[in-house]
Amino acid sequence: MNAPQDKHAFRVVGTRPVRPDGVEKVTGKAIYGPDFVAPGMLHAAILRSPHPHARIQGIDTRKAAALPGVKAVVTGADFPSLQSVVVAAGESSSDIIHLSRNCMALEKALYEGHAVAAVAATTLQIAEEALGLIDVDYAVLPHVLDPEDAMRADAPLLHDDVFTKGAEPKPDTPSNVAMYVTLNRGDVGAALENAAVVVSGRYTCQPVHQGYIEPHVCVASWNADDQAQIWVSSQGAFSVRSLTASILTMSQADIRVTPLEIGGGFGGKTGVYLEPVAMLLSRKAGRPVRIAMSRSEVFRATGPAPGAIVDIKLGAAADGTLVGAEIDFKYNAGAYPGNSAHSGIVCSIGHYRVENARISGMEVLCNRPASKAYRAPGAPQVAFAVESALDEIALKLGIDPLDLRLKNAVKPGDPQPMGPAYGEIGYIECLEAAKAHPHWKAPLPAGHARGIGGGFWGNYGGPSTAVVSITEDGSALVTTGSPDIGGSRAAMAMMAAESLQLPYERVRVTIADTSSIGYSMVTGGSRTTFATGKAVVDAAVAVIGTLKERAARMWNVEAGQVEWRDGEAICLADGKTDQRLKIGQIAAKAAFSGGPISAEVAINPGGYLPGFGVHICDVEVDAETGQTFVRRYTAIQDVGRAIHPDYVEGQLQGGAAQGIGWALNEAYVYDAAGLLDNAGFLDYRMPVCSDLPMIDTVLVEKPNPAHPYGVKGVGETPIVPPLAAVGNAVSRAIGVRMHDLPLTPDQVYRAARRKG
Amino acid sequence: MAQVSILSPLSSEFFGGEDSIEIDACSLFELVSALDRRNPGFADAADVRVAFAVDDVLTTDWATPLSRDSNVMLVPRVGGG
Repeated sequence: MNAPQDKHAFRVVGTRPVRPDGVEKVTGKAIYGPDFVAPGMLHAAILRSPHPHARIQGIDTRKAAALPGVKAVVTGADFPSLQSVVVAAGESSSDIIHLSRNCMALEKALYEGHAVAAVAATTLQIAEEALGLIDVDYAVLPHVLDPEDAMRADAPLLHDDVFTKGAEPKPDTPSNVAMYVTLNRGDVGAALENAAVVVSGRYTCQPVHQGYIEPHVCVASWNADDQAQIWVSSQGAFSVRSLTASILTMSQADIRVTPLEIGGGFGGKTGVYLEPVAMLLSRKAGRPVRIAMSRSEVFRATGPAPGAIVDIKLGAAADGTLVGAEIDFKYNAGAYPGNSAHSGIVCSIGHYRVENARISGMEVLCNRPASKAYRAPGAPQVAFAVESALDEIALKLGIDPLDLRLKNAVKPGDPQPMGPAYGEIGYIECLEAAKAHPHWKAPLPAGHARGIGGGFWGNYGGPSTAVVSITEDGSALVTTGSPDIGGSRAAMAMMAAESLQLPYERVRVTIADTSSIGYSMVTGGSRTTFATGKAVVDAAVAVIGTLKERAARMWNVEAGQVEWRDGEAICLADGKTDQRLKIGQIAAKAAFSGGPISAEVAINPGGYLPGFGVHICDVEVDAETGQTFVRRYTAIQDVGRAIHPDYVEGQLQGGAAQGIGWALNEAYVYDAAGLLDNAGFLDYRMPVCSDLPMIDTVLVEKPNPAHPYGVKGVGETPIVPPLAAVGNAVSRAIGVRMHDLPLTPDQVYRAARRKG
Repeated sequence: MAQVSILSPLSSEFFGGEDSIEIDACSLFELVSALDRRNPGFADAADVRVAFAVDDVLTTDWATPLSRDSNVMLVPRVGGG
């Protein structure tokens, strides 16, 4: 069921070769962030605020600076003064001042863990000892953690320069509401009034961390001539370059960022936290500086995805046709404005045809770490509410929940929430695949219950650069600027091999540093296999053109008389049709036929298409403890075409696992003082293998006509359906609608008991 | 004159709540410049926060020609993870 439907059309695409970086990774040779060492490197540690909200009245670093072994100390005062300007940050955007302040607080600490000073020393132990010698004079301020509390008139104000974007009239007083977004169409009031059934409720979910295994780490070296290098584990070396340059008011050409291997990102490594700090320490010390976060620092100072409060009313006609939706949501953005409200609007009901809708979304600032992108940012939270409400409608109308979704699902040509029509999308195909799947038809054992959830993500294109060059022996080298997070080296090699008609093993891929190739946007937003892949294919096609040209010169014929087939040039000219040149033969003479053979392609492709998915979840709830066990799980998604199905399936399984964790276990626990109580994997409970069944996958392949091999992005969508799929299963298991995530045993037990 | 539809929050943030205006422009480059003249600051935002759909098709090429009948939609750009 997982093989491409038209696999015979391709030689390489759709197969499952061994990943080219696999041996290095399983033997421990691959260089991840914490592995990198520079000669003379210092070690740095960061002093973090012990208060969730405090004015910094002064920082005395003299004792720390005097400690033997300490080579540099920096505070917010060492950062350049900046003009407020919104800059691209990963795929989203932020005010550069906020990005800078999040790296190092200046006047106020806005969350527990906010960096306030940093020390570089000859050893990490000395750096950490020096932190204890820094005297910070805090004036502790009232804090606020909950978005609705933060909206109250008497709530502590985090920023005096944040005015609600999108509010009418334009506000002239600052607010903790950073963004207000609305979407209105039709007459919702009348639609709900005339609906056969209306369900309503308040759904909540908590902020959750991306949970990447590798913590944030970088090494920076700022030379006396003001040229610098940064080695970092990141989703986007170019993003690190541009943000660091903007924060430190440097020329981008003076910063060379080398991407190291990355141990997970999921959106959480699309910005900067440490790099400008390490740079300033390096400039002061005159030596390279490494900063590596501990797991506790990762939890206290990075991520998470915003939590949400979602109020929903959803109405349907007696036959199940959705007639109206009224949704209001508030996202907990943390300490600085985020960018997920708009995607919450788009992804709320964008997978269904609903003629009448009024949707509003807010991003609210609180004294928590600034929220950050996490797979499909802003979509899972609101999808949890919508898909739960759909389940209620299905129960009330006595309609099969898959049939209800099929009745209302969008298809190509239907309008997207924002207006333009959908292209070749495949939600209906996913729902049909779910209905045909053995999982859906399997009888449920006693005590088990089944839930489903649907959802989508819009995906993206974005700028990418790729180089394809032919070696003297006729092998191919692909160079991109897109860090390999989910197997993209293999996918790039496969697309190049398919295009050049070479064996996969004859193509090797390198991820270049920012000074060695043109710009590429971050690896994120499910864009890399689509956009960078298209650049690779275009470059390969250009190389084929050159190879044909060179063969034509060697044969003294016109280039139009040469065909490229099976990795070799074939002469079509009269009298020479028996002539053939293998790629190695052409490459060997490249120096004498015009020079080395290579092509660079830089693009910003349109034509990306959304990915739709539906998940099926079976659970068993222990009546005595309220603990939920996921017994069977299937993730179905339209992937366009899977270049390397293993890695596509892995994306679906990973997203499902993370979504199950969001649904069942994960939450930040704060004490009354606003301090995080569970900043570690022991207490912040992400699912582990023993918590989960084998997650089955179905790759629905409805190719994207705008990509040479039909690719649609796949990495975001799989985290959208699980919250509701799990929630609906648990609700059906105990006979009580569950509105609040995570569905911890105590909560499930209490709900089941209340029902009696 | 291209018909320009502006979605929330861009409409409130830059155009005083107007969600539909007419602009004389031959390309998206010209359109952005014209909108920035009417509402200073929009061009900077357009670089990093706005996606453009011309006649229902999202486009990244600001040289895309606009005709008198073109419908242009200004959509907040969505960032992935």
